[in-house]
Amino acid sequence: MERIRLLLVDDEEEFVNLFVKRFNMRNLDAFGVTSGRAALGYLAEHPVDVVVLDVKMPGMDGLAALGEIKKRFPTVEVIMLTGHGSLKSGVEGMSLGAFDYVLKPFRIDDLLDRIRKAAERKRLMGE
Amino acid sequence: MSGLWSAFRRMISRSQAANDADEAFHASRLLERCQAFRKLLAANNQALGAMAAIDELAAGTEPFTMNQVRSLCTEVAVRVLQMVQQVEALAPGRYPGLEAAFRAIQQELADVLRREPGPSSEAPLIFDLQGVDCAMASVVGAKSANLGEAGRLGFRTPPGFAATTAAYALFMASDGLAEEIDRRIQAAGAKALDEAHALSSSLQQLVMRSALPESLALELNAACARLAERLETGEALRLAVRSSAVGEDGEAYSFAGQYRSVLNVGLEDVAAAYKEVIASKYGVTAMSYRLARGLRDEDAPMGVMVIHMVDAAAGGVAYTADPATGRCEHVFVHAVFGMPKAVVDGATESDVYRICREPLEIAMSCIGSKKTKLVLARGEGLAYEHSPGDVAGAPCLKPEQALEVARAALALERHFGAPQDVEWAFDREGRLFILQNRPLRMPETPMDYAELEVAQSDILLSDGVTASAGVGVGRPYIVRKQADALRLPKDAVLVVRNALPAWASLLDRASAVVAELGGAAGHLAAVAREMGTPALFGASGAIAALARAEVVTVDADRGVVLSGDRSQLLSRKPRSPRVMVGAPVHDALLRAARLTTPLSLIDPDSPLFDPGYFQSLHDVTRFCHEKAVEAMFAEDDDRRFPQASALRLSYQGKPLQYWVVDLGGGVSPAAPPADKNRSSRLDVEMVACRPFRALWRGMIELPWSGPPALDMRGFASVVAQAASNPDLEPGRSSAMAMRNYFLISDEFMSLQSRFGFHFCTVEALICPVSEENFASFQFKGGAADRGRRVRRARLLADVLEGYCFIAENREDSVVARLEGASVREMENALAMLGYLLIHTRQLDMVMADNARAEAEFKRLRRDIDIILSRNARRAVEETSWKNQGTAGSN
Repeated sequence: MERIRLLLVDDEEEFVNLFVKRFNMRNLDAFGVTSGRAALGYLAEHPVDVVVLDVKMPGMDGLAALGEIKKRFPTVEVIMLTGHGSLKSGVEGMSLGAFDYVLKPFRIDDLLDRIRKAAERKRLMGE
Repeated sequence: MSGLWSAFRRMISRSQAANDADEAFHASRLLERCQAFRKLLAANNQALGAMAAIDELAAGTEPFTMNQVRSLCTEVAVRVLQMVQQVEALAPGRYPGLEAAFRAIQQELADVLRREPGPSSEAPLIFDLQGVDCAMASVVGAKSANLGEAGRLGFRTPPGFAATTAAYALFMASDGLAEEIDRRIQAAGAKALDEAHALSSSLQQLVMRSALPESLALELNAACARLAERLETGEALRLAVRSSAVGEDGEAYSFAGQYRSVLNVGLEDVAAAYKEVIASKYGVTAMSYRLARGLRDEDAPMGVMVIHMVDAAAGGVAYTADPATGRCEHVFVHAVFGMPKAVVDGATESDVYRICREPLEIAMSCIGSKKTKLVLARGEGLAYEHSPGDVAGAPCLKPEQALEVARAALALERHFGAPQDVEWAFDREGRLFILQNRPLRMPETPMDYAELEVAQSDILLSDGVTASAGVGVGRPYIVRKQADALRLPKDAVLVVRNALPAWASLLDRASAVVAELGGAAGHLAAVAREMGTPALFGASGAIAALARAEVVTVDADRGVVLSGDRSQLLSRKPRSPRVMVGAPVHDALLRAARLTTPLSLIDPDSPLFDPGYFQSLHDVTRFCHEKAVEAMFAEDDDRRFPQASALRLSYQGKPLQYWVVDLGGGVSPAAPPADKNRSSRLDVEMVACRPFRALWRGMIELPWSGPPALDMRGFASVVAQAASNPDLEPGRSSAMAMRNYFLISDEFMSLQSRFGFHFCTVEALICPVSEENFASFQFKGGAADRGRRVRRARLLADVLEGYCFIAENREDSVVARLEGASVREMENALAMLGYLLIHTRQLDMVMADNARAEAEFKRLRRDIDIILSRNARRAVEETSWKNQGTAGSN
């Protein structure tokens, strides 16, 4: 099976670096960026199966980035990362077409499971 | 999910191979519908799981945070929205009011979860204490308000000022400090104590590194200058900078010793001391305290009190009642040489005066050995000073001084209308100062001193004083340093040398606390009383006596520690089991729970089964599930693709309440072809799906033998009754809801079952590659009362765990999963699930008590063992047949 192409978007560089490394060790093809705009730029040039997107980012926040991603790259599946007190952003994210949402802090295997489901869905919908 | 997808792939590729565009189109439509249905089921299970967790928290027996409440509510809302979306995907436009009804409840929920607005940063930043009274507690915090009030009453109090909660709000708003704190707390999600230490350290450093807003820094300086001028001390002014959080020192929450006081501070260090006090809000003990007491971060905005530092010759605390017993005949004055902090920190012995109220006279005095005393250090802060033996054993108060303290404390009690806890000091000139006063927390019921019969040899310790009443049983665990604290086992008896406030964060994990030093007047004692943790302090020799003991019973009421488990004492005075009830977090949870967990849409045939009548998110899930099943399985006329139609299963010519949709390879090629005829039947024997066959075997293997007794006519009767008779369940349900639905392929099976009020899904994949195999089981609800439903769920989880499932049980729900097992193991697991589906259906109705649950557990285990041994025998027979066949062919 082809490696899942993952884009991780979070304004915390340390978090991004750590998780990109851990996802690559788990046989994903992961890349990280630290803003919504950078994510859109990356998606324009690289094929991606799943985006894991932090809701709370300075500048273009996660929900705005999600809206743009679904508009420009509708087949890419997006998983939202949200903090505890984010009923509104969780619900809005799903309304905007996110595949799933994951609460921070999360267990990497839980997130991985959802990434796999999202990638499988994307591939099936493409078939 | 791979089983489902591979089935679809095969179906679509078959259609494409046959070059049948119409069939391929319908196959892809079926894929979308099944995908939507699967997603809805997954979301349903997740929503129900989160609802069960909310119900569990609502019991109020375990501490939780507002973040947990928000997380769970977000989980429920998002999963329910997913269900709404999938219903729309399955039946586009059929329920126009559905999303709006969901949104309305979600909005109400968001209102409940919204953070309380913090204090206004527009109010004055500083008040002189002379202008403060107890009506200003929400502006200056309780400590400043009470001391200001005491000053206005004519008591001698140190002059000073209060930095208000507006000053705090201004500081927290500067440079996004509050947001960053919130972000770090959320990101850490720390529950374990070792993680809490790291988080606490990071937050406190963050506060200390943040600069005070200029306006606040200027006002602090100006207030200090005015104070120096008034006291005519000039630069030599020494100050005490103390926390005065809103809610601190209240009747419900004392926060005793949880926040910092920075003592003996010079003028130039006031700003740093101010930040240190604010930072202490994020100390481990303070955060643990808020967690244990159900307080939200916003429930405790921090005022700060800055007062002239009294150079105390003697000081201590006075209680106008006995906090351990609740008796009010006496005033208790605890006193030490030097600063009163030594009393509340529990660091040294103190003199204790028991003083009659009427007439005011000393009934008893107990002079402690005060080997150390706290004094003002030369530079800043306090220092311990050794007291020589003759001084250490001398009384630190003259009798008239003890009476003066008691008189002041009683006057404060009269004014405030409740027993008081008063911190006081005599300065070098013998003048009495009131430093702090707050309501004294009293036990809910006065202690009962019934006689206890124990052998003398069973008493391990007997000279402790009751710091917090109650009885605790556990294994002693000695904590000498913070590192030991990290390893404190849950429900151990915490044994320490000093009753330090720092151990407060351990109280919710300990069954009782025993300290060699310290008394009922310390901060740790106050917190132990608040949390209902039995505590015995001043028990000299405790560490040596308990170091090698196994289980012990701490009877704090009598001041003894007994060897062994004397749990019978627990029934006499149980610890308050519902620690969170009444806490702000618990109130918020209950308000949120009202919008999430009650189920009012019960009858799908009722005209009220409509989005217009939703009262909770549970109603939305019920509605969505019902309508999704209808859309997925109803045999509607538009269905031109026969494979997508649900076929009704029959067994031995009898129709069952089971319908199947074949995703490919799930039906034997020998079966008659499905058609558009609504009466399409499929004999169970024609089902080729491997997990289904294993499950079915378990369902029919043994007749139902337990209550409630059913009219039995052999196995067909069991199945027919279990699967076809709506009257077996007391709840009313629609025809759709009474049905059980299978999605099947050759290797995959997904079962949806809802009889009346309980809800169950089983999914499984059985293929030759063990790593891909799984079986999952989800179960929630029932028709009986909560206690019986919970017992049944626990029973199910116990049984499943006994057979290699990983099971999670919450309230009346069970989620269990088995992965990576061989074909044979998977078939056994499915047979067991099949058996449980049939034989636990009404079990909740009879689970009246734990004894009954235990009996049922044994019965289920015995039956399952019979099924598994029969399976094993069949496997041997099959192998033998195959071998014979092979031998024959050779």
